[in-house]
Amino acid sequence: MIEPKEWKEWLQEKRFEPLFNALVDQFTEPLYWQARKLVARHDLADDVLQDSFISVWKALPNFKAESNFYTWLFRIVSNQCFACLKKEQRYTEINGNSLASLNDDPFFNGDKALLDLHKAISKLPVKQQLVFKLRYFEDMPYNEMSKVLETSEGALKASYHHAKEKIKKSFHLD
Amino acid sequence: MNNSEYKIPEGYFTQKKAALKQIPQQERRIFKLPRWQKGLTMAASLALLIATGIYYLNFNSNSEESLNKVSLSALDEFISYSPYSAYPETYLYEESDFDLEEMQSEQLFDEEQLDSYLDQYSNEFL
Repeated sequence: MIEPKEWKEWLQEKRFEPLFNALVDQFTEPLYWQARKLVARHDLADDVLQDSFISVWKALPNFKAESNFYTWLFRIVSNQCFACLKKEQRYTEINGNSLASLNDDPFFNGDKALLDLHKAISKLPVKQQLVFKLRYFEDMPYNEMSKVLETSEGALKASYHHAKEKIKKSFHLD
Repeated sequence: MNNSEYKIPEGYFTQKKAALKQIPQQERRIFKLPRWQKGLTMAASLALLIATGIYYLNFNSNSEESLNKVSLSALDEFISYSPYSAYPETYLYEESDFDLEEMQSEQLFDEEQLDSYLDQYSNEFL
């Protein structure tokens, strides 16, 4: 997507509020769906989106515009998703049950197979979860993923491979 | 995976965008002091605390005023009370009544008795 030229001008002129509002208008929906696919539940995606835009507002004065705005925003959303999944995993480790089960989400309409897949994914280390979801659900190219997650393509490929093997094992497909 | 598996509440994006656009105002309302102002505020708080402390101590050390507040009968009772009167014999001994060298040289406790005492009571807390 080609981003409007005036965004960078607004950034240089320190007109942060109109720039922020333009980012909200332009990117709320795609960022929500990215978050939703990573954290699965609507309420978690909503929290991630809120926290991400708070971070965007705080970080906007320091943004150098070396990458385009969407890549930068998507990186922030991915980091928030990472934190959210980490918190979820820690809760599950301590309490034995999930903090926010996908079963209880009234806005989840998937079948049992998808539910089981999410359950299997949730047992992976958080970084592997992100890589697997971006690759499997989003079909995101490794070079793009590398920019977002700030990890080398080789490491991402290895991570995806390990994640896939573990998921196959959990479905007894190995 | 398609978005039909993931539903959203009706009108969610319209409401969400409006809520997100409130973030700049909400963040501005959180008043943040610059670093030098933080230091100044802390120094002023400390000075106020010290001034209050000094005033309080001075007020309380005004013995004449404090004495006026104490009932005289309570004061009489306090002065007439002597801990020595409760157990007079305890305080009637003087140092010369004891031969400290002898006490140090001789064995004051029977070891067996001491061991049995320790056995009996030391286990209570284990």
